[in-house]
Amino acid sequence: MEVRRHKELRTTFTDGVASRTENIRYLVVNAPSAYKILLGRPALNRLRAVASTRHMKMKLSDLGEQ
Amino acid sequence: MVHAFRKGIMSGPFSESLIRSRPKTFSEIRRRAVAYIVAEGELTEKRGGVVPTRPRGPSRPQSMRVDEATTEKKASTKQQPYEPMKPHTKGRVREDVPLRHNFLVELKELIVVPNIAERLKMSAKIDKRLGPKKDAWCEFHHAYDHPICNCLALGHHLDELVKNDFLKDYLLESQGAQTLVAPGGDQGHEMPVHGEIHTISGGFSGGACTASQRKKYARRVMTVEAQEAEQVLDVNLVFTKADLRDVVPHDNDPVVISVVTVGRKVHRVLMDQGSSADVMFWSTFNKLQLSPDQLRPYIGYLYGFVGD
Repeated sequence: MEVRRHKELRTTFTDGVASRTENIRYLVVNAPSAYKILLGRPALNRLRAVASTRHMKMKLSDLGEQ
Repeated sequence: MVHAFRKGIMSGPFSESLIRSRPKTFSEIRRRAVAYIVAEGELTEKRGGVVPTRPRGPSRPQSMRVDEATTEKKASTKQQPYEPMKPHTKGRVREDVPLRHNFLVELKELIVVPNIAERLKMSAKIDKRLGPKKDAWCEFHHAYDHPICNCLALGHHLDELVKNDFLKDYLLESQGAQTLVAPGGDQGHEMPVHGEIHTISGGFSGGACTASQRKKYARRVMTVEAQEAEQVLDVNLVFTKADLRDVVPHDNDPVVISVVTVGRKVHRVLMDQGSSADVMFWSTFNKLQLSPDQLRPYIGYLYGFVGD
């Protein structure tokens, strides 16, 4: 899949306890999909988050930032 | 038929003699074969009494040919003296030698324990006290032929019982552990993996699309530098039972979350922990009412995306 463009957007994540807003660089792709956004490892690393498939949840490390 | 028989048997002294003087009838063949068998037996005794492990020349190949040659009756009359071992292995096609387990009690005591005895399918009692070895009594078969410790059929039976954990009280501990471990040879992922499908690679991870950016990234990763103390709190990210409370048990559901970006809430965001890129779809981008002018160029490819 050839990608021509990307865009950085400030995106807010919250897990009910902690909330973080990070700049995520999205590659914009013209393709049909059931999802709106796919978040891969870069976003997870940036968020310092842990996702558990079993729990269907993501946990953010609360750094006291809002 | 006589001709077919002559063709069918393996070459040896008996077949030579059949070629030299052709027999007229089958009864003649039989008579001569018995004579040869006796002669051969005497010869081997003379040579030092070592009985060859394989049944000798002329009789063996015949037993294979018999079925085709429709002379079953005649063949069986000849086979008998050569096949004393046959009855106890009959019906067992398994070639693996049973594992030898060490039991706390002797085998002959073990098989008469009422519980075990009923599980061991006792072999149909053989009327004949078969076998020439009068000193080797098999308690399992109730027959002379082999000592009980060499009994294949019993070995297979015991194997099964050990596998079903039925005999664990009788097993010597160390041996038991070994046999339990041995068959568990997990050959799970022997197959080489040539690549991954359904994770997206490419994007900004590992630098970016140009060689210089990738080199820069690699250099940065490989160096040790004194980082200014980042604001890192020692946090435990723990998932507890409480987190499971409102989760429907599932096998294969992905983690899908919602995020807020550009003032809008975006549902159905897939956490794809295998992908090396964060991807936004063009339709989403449009719905966020962003202008395409804000997009910056990216020269590169995403691999493994939607099947390509």
